[in-house]
Amino acid sequence: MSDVAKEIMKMIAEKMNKNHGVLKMSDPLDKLGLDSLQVVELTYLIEEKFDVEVPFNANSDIEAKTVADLIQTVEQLVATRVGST
Amino acid sequence: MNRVVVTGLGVISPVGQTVTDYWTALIAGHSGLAPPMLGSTGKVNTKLVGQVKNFDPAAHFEPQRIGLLDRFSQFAVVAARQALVQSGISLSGGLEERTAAIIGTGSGGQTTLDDGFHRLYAEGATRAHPLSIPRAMVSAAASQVSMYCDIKGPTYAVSSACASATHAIGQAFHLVRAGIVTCALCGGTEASITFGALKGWEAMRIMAPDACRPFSRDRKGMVIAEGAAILVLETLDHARKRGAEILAEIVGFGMCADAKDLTAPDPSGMARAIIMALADASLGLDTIGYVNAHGTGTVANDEAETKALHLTFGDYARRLAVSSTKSMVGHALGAAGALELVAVVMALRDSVIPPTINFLGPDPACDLDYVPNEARHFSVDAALSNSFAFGGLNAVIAARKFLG
Repeated sequence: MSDVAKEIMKMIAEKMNKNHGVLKMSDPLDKLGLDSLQVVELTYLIEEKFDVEVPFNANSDIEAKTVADLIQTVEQLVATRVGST
Repeated sequence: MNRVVVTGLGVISPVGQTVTDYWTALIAGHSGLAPPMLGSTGKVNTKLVGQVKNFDPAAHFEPQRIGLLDRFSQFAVVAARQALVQSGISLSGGLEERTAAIIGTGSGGQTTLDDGFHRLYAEGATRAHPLSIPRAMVSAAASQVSMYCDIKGPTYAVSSACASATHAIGQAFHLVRAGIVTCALCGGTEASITFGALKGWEAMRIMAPDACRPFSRDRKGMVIAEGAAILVLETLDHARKRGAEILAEIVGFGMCADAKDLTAPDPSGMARAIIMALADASLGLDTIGYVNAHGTGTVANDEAETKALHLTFGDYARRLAVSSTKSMVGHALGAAGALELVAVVMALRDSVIPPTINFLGPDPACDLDYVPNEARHFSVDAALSNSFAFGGLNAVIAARKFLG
């Protein structure tokens, strides 16, 4: 697992419903007991941590469906950022 | 029209974080004012503020919820819970829908705004925290009180600078008296001792460098404070039915505007609000034994307020006990009127008048009995709580000892 993945898994685990059990890469994001404000806050924390802009509007569906999708999106953003500097 | 009684009180203040501690400190003449502690944000020249010391959010809120509440909302929720516990009321079985939450505040989530802008403007942050808006909004405390206390009736914030809490309580009084609701949690909250806000106050050059000494000679200004106070109001019928202890009765409310000046007080506007409260309460002038003054400690306010009391009460003004608890608490702005009405309720109940401390001697322009330096054991039948805000917004509550 990449550092980005580890970090994001940790962030989600801290926010999600404590009754959820162990977080898996295949878990759908909308089944983690996160309310909409927590999703927005999680996005902010990811942006701050990795210095990226996650293209996400709370009014539209989240494109990343699972934890793995989200991690992949962020990893791509991080790769683009590094490449551009 | 319902009679309206007070059955619960809650306080977070610079002199105590329970009603008992607050009242004990006021009666003992203890000051809660001290040099500001602001962390490392920058240099302020302010010598004295009334901060709530050692307030621990973790003692009152779950760790994952703390981030949702600015300090001003935290104060309000904690004070509201205290008031509910004292009242013994259970907001269930439909009563929750017939209960209001009306919370005054001058500036709302100032800490959230100050920190957020500092990060953006000074530290070069590229994004704001996503909770910036819902935490800072002026109505956030009212919403948090409704959520934590399960209040489902009319809920909103009232903002009228230093009269916010008194306007909020006055509106709650109107709703209960008219039968629109059975019960109301009302009061005010403020937590705006931030670097940015203090610099703004300093620029007005009305801050006391030494002590807050309202109505005294050599008074040098006001002292900014923070805190919250919440009162439970309910109809007398409802309180009686459930066998509640009744702490005092709210009997009148007066409010008006000067329509004159953004900062200078106007004795005639102040007097009109006092007269409206007395008329609303059907109280004769000579029934009033105690006035908890707005008494900020500025040269202008205390002189104008003294004139207003002369205008209203005539010769009887000299027989009033008038004190400013701001001498001990400081000026908690949008929370001040509620903190002061709590002092009035306790004074009516316990027959003790809290003093105006730091009083050095009379000023020729302030020639009333200000209960200097020591509390006075003295039974009063009725009392007033005055709030006179910047922008000429005046609000006065009349309360009476509950005699059945």
